[in-house]
Amino acid sequence: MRCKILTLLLFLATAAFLAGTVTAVPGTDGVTRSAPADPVPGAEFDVKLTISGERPLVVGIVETIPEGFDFVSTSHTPDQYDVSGQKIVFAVINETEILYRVKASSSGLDTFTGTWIDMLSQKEGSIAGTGGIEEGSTPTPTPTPTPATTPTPEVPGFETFFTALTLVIAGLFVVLLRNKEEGGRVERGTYYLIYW
Amino acid sequence: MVLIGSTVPLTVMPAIATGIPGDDDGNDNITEKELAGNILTYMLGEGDLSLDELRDAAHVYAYWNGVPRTIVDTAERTVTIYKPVKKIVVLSSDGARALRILGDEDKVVGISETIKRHPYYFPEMSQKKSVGTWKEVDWEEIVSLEPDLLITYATGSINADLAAEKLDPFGITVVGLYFYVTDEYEQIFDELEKLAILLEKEEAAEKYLKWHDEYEARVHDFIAGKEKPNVFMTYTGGSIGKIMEIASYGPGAIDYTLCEKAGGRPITEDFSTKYPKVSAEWVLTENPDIIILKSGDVFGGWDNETEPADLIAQMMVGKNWDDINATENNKIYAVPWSITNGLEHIYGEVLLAKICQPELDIDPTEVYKEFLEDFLRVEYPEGKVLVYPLLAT
Repeated sequence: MRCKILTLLLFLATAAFLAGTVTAVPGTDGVTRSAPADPVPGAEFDVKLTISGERPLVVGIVETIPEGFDFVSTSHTPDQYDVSGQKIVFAVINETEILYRVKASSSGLDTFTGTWIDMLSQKEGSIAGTGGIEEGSTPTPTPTPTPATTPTPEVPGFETFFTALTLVIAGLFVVLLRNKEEGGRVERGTYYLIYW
Repeated sequence: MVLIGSTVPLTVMPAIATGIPGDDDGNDNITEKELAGNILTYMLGEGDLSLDELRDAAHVYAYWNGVPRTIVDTAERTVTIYKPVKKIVVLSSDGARALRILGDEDKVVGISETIKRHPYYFPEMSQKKSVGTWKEVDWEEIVSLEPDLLITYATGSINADLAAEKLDPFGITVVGLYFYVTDEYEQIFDELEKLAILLEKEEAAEKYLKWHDEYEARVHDFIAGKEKPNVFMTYTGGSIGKIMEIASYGPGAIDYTLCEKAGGRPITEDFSTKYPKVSAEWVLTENPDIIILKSGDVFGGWDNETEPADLIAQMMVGKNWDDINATENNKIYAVPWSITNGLEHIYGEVLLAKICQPELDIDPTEVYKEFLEDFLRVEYPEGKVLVYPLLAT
């Protein structure tokens, strides 16, 4: 029994290690948005975008501010942002933070959305969820439609598959161990195949 | 397959302009401003660059300091890469081995028949599309594969100049590299380093060169001050028993150089030509301590001992060499042709050193095994005869 527990722990540790290994890829890990939870209607407030990852970093960002909100300014390099309607686009080169200022609508609360594309890897994602201005919101790792060509998200796809596979194998392993201990009808050959 | 003659223009594909994607002013330097501008227009759904092109531009900016990568190939052509190489056509097995050493075989989309015939050494590459032979290729097929880079020999039927003439209009870069030694050993190292620059594989090239240099230094240090045996090196295509004019290597020939590096004294040292023909009587007079017979039609060793044994037996026919030192001391060896000229030539050097100086504490087979398993990443083929008769380890 002790041997089996040790084996299980070793197996799960190996799976965790392997899962961790495949996530260690270059490029941006994600972009998060920080902003006041309840901006005063009609008042200006700052929005901070934080780009995580190690340099070199080259990322494209599209922020879409709600109807009725107005872009005011940004501390970002002048030729590395542009504004078109409710869209604010940023080119982020070796920077990890963007601060921009907007003026809230008269009603205050509304939805900010945003997407990012890492130009040095195949990764891309969403910046924040919907339903209001969220403080420290986390990115959604799933790829989103891009303005032009949509690339094949190689790494995230593999990562997801691998993680799912690891969990399935771990689950099967635990079930088989339990069956064995409970006198379940586990074929010896099958048992060893999964066991080691 | 329709083979196109050199006078027929390729019209199946549109010509493609070269240059760094996003280098708006075309000065071969993508600046932060240019990159940012292209990112902004792309993110707004405007602009001319695709996401792939934009990523290439970002790569060049971030990792190449914003400028293209340039080398001078062995055909003395300036070769410039403006974006990361993602697809390669390689027309020689020597080039294919270089790609495996650099770890870029997964980028290969097209090969020559020579590579297709060697699935053992090129398990993945040999499955790729064949675009022809060493002397005739289907240019349209190459263009249709849309490679970024074509690797061919500097000279020969499909030389780099000819290939460039055909493929430059389609934005396909051609590089002429041999990856076998034709003149100086430095050449093969330079070629590997140059390809590594184009493919951003400098670390892999460095690893190979370090491995090579370490063995070479051990051989060099060991043979220093040792008495040098007299060595006669010859080669055959299989008819050596029928002729009395025997081919050999003189000063300046690669095999001659290798023999010296391995601690032997070539008996042809007084010749003034690289490839002198000598008589059996002359060899008899020189009385070599060792004879090395290279076979010209063997790739990576023999499958049995019979073939190299037969080659040696054929060589001995009618030559009256029974009383020379090499015969009396059983120091006549057959070796595969590729061991002295290819990227594995350090195996050849260690092997010759072991033959000339048997006390050398290096097992040549281990060197070859390391070459295959650590650099070509194929399993060592047990049972291959890489020298006959086998050396005592």
